[in-house]
Amino acid sequence: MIVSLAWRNIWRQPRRTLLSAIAVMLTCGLLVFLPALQIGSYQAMVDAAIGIIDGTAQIQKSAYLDSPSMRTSFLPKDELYQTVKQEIPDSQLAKRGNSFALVSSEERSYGLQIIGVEPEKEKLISTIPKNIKQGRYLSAEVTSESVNEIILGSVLAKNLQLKVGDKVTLLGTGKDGSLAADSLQLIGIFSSGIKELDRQLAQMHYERFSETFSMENQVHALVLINGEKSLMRSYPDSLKRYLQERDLVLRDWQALQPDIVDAIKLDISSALAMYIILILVIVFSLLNSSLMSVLERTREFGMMMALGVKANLLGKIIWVESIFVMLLGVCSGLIIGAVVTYYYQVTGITFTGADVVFEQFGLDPTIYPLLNAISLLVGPLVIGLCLAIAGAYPGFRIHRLEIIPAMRSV
Amino acid sequence: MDKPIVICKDVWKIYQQGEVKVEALRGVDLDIFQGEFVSLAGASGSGKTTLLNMIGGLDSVSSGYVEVDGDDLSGMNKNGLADLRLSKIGFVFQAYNLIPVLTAYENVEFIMQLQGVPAERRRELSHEILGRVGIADMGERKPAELSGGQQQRVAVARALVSNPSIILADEPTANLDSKTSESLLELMAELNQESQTTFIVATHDPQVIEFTKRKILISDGKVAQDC
Repeated sequence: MIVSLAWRNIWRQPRRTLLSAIAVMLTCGLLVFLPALQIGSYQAMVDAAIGIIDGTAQIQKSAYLDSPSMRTSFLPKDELYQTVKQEIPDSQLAKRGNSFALVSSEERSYGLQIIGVEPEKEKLISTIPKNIKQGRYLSAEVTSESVNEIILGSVLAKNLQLKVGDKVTLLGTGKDGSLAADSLQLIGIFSSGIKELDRQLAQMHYERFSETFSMENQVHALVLINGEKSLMRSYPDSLKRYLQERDLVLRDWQALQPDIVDAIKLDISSALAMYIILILVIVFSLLNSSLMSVLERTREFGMMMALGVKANLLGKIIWVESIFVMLLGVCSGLIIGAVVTYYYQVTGITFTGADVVFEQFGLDPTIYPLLNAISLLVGPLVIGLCLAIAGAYPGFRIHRLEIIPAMRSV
Repeated sequence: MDKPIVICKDVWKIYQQGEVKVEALRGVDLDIFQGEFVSLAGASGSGKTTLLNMIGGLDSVSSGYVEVDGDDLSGMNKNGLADLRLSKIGFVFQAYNLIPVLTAYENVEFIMQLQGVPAERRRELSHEILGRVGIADMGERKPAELSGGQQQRVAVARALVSNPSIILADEPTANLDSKTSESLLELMAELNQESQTTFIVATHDPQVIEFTKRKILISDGKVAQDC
């Protein structure tokens, strides 16, 4: 009876019901689309940030993050490789050696960050191998001929007035404090998409790096390649313990890129404030509509109470009416939001004119919203819950109703 | 007719209107018995509707005692009064007061549904009662699709269907023409005879007053005449 009466009641004023439901639908749709766009842009930011160099996780000495010195290195033993393989099946580890050095061409010298890498594995981690603009990436095989290869960022190569095939000289400090000097051949110039990196980054074969910088086969980091794109992945505690016992630590992208995490948190906070305002607006407008509908029926409620209907039952009927309007809006908003979001997830949204801003962060101006359980359900569920709670209020007001004055009201 | 079904003893109702106290009822003493067909007659503002509201538990007395079918109304809270109205009292209002979104059948069934009568039985009784009030073929119509007289018949059917001890009717013919009024009164009298349900009708319509067996004249908040 409650359900049937409430359903019929909401269609007494079809225009009002439809307008209310459409308002809820639009809010719901927005609360599906906007978080999906946010998640998509975070994913793009993180992908761009970790995809160029860091990878999703790295094994490092525990002190390396705070004090990334040449000496904070470790020897990657076979046992470590086996343990990681055992704990995270289908994973691989890629060696990395990091240093700062002076790079010189015949004309000029600049400071740079040089990374010793394993080229074949690097292709699975970094976007740099795909972004070679001139020449080629480092050879997969390390031979006596290929071992002296180096690639440079495009801005650095331009500043040094170098072209592919030229010789460059490296001058730095080895792990043992000795002078590290080498002469290498420029075989490729990359453009990462971030000018700052292109101005100071270079890669060479790990073997040669180890030799030049007296690393004695030690590394500064082992990048974990597990073939999974998920950024929220958690790693086995047993692996973390194993590493901890050896003064090593597995750092995920959040630890490697705290600035990105802070930027995302800040963006989430401001977006949350906007969502809360949006939800409050829709809750109050629906509450107003419901109160108006109750006010209009004061006489009818008085009559029903005279017949023996208790205020509780009337309150329930009014609440179910609000629930119906809410369900109409939330369900249609969920469907429309999901369809629109999915469409843009496939096609992407290009922010025309914002290319320069996006480029600064290594982002493509086309963002792909990401539709997942969080973006799809959280907004509509929160709206539904808020409206369900607010919808009970007009029902409570019925308890104050006196039968005789109510029946006399127009 | 040994025990009264309605007992009013020294019933007072005083309203506060701003700084003025309005005495709507001033010590009404009244007994009404099972199966009576009573009119509470009087001019506008005489207190007849107020008295009807007191008997129906729609309003509380300022002082005095009201008993309906053995229940002392002054000792009851809102829910208790709602239960009493649901189980023992049927109402017929001047403005019909049907639920606009429900059909005639559903309006009649509504009270039974509140009383927990099973669906099949409700359907059966609603068909039967609408047949008795002469509008069986209009059961699927909503109030807006019925004439005033037909709506009032539905209201009578709704009041009667749960077999209450008394039916209170407040100016039931006020919005009806004389022919429809007469037909409605005949129907009420017939139902009163058949089911021995007590009818108390507040009215100032001479046609209604003439029709009832017992006529109680209310004047200035008191029983002026009872015959």
